Amino acid sequence: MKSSTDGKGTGKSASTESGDGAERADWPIAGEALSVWPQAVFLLADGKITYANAEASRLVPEPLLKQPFATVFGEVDAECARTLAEMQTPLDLDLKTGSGRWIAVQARSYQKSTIVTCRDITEQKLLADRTEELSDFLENASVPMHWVGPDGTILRANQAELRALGYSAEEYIGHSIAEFHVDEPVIADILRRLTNDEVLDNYEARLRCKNGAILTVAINSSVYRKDGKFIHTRCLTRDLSSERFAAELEKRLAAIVESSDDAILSKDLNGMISSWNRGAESLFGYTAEEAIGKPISMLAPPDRIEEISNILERVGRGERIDPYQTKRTTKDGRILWISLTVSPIMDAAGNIIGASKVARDITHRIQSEEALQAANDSLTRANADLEQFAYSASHDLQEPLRMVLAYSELLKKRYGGQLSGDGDEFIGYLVEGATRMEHLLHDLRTFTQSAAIDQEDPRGIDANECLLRTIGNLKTTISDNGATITHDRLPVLMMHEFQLEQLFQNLIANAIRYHSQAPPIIHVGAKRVGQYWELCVRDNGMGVDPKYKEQIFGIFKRLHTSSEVPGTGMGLAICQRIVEGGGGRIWMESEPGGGSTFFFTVPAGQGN
Amino acid sequence: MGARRFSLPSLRAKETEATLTGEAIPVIVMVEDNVADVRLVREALDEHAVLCELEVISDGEEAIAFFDSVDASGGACPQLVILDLNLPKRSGADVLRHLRASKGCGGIPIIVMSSSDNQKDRDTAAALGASQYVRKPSRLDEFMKLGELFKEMLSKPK
Repeated sequence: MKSSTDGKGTGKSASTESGDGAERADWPIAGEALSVWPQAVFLLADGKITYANAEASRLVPEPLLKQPFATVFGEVDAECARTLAEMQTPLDLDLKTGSGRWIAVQARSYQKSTIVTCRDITEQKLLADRTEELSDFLENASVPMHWVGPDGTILRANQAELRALGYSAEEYIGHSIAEFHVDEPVIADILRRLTNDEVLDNYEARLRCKNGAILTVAINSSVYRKDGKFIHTRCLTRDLSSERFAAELEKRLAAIVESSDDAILSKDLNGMISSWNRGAESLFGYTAEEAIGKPISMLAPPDRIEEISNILERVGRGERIDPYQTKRTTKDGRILWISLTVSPIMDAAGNIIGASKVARDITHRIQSEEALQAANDSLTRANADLEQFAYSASHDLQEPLRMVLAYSELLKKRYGGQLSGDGDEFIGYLVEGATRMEHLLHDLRTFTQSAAIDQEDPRGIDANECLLRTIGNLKTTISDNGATITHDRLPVLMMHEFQLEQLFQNLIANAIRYHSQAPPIIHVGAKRVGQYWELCVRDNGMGVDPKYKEQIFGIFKRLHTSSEVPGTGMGLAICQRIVEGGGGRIWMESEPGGGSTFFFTVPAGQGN
Repeated sequence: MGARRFSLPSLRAKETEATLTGEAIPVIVMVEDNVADVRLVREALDEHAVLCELEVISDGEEAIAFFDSVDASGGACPQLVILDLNLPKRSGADVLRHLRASKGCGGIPIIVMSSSDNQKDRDTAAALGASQYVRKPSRLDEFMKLGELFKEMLSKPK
């Protein structure tokens, strides 16, 4: 308040402070002025309103003027209520009244009085809130935004933009936008367009991030002008990298599908072809144009038509069909073997909308498998034929031989002694040869039969009983040669009884036949070796030179002439065939003069 | 070729004797295509001095016709049949089946004599009603022993 020099001096200093309590001549005028002052003014004494100007009377209804000042604004928050009651001046307070308006209250004390001015600031308050909201929206929206001035200086950039590029506010705001563009002509063009009031719609540009990475963005921008003057741009940038990546990926996947040798196609749930790659073109012969929109069933040969609806039904249930072999027809009517995989295709919501199929041509594989199978079959047949031939031959040869034998014996019986000495000798050779041939044929039949029995399942037989039976069969030979036969406790073996008997019979008969000077002593032993039973027939006979230990198992192989030791050379061949046919092994250990031991193994089978 | 009837030469005397004593001479029908086997059977019968007439039929069809004609004429049945299995035209098994079904001769002894040692053949023969199954022996002495069997079968009361 300015000091007054109106001539009514008070004897006090000419210039006084408002608070010094001095009377002033112009005060009445001040009071008048106060009454018309456009702000509400109250004078208070002890918290009571002693004066309210016209504006104050408008602000506060008449009856309330008699109330303590602290209550004139109605319901206010507790903090405000206390401040008003205490009325510690000077006071500056913005309060919200019970009716929701904002009032700025200022109070100053003068002597015993307090002068209070009140101003309605509701409008100001609302404006400030809105400004804050807008500012927050700009600052914290998740879309990168910035303002650029007419000279290209960045005036403002929001957090999202700073985050996207990696700069702090200081490193970005206040700098020229051109510094952050990779392509100078691009930013020049952007600024030129904006200056010409063009609106940029997804204008593509490349920005340089703080870490050196380059961000491809789409810019949407326009200019804010005030009174025709370029104030700033309104610029939004959108990161295209992830969209780019997705697009690239899609392109790459499409390229893979397209270049695949496998036929890759899709169909909708009605079985209509919806895509068709180059692999499908070359496999089935239809171009994409010919195939798309056509029913997939055109690929199925008549005997596979039902498969198609079955596949569609399963795929419709969300099932994936693992690779399986089937047949399909090509455009030119050839039948292909293919391996087919079918999977459901879903839309973004997870609904099944079709099926993708991958088909691989396996015709060659199937053909070679079939060829292999055919070759195998014919080999098996040839082998069986050979067996059959050997069996039949040995039988059919037996018949004429029987005649030769019977009649040469009849000849000998009836005319023996009536012919010359030569005649008797010749008949002797005839009988001997025929006899020997009969033995050969017998053993050859046994050999072929030993394989025929392989077809049936072997069962457990007690080797002890089998051995005793064999010894019984060889009774005469054993007693004629004074042989002794001992044996271990033998196991139950999984094989055919006939075969085990053959084994024992051949091995023991050999052991006796090839005896040394001493009477034959033969032992049959058995022990468990891993998964096998190992049996042995040991003798004290003449032994075999180890260099012949393989040869002796050959068909018709003999180390002695018939006149030295009789035999057909089939016995050990039969043994080998039986043992190997049962999955075992047969071998011999011997020293000439030191006896021989023949070993053979038999798979122990389960439970033994 | 009709049935050939052999009268064993060595038995002429006995035969005459039997005829004189009014005893009927037993008849053996042998169905066999191999003359060498026929000869051996004759030897065997001879060896054991079996008094009989041996009538030989050399294929299956003729054998069936023979028994049909016996049935039709109500003629006498042979006392023994020796039957091979492996025969021309109709198999021995067919003949056996036919013979066992015959009204007149269904019950006579039948010896199946085959070179087969196959168990299946033995079983079939037994199932069709063969009285005996013998394998044709290779050795002369075994063959000669068959004479005993024939003799025994002939002497069995019907």
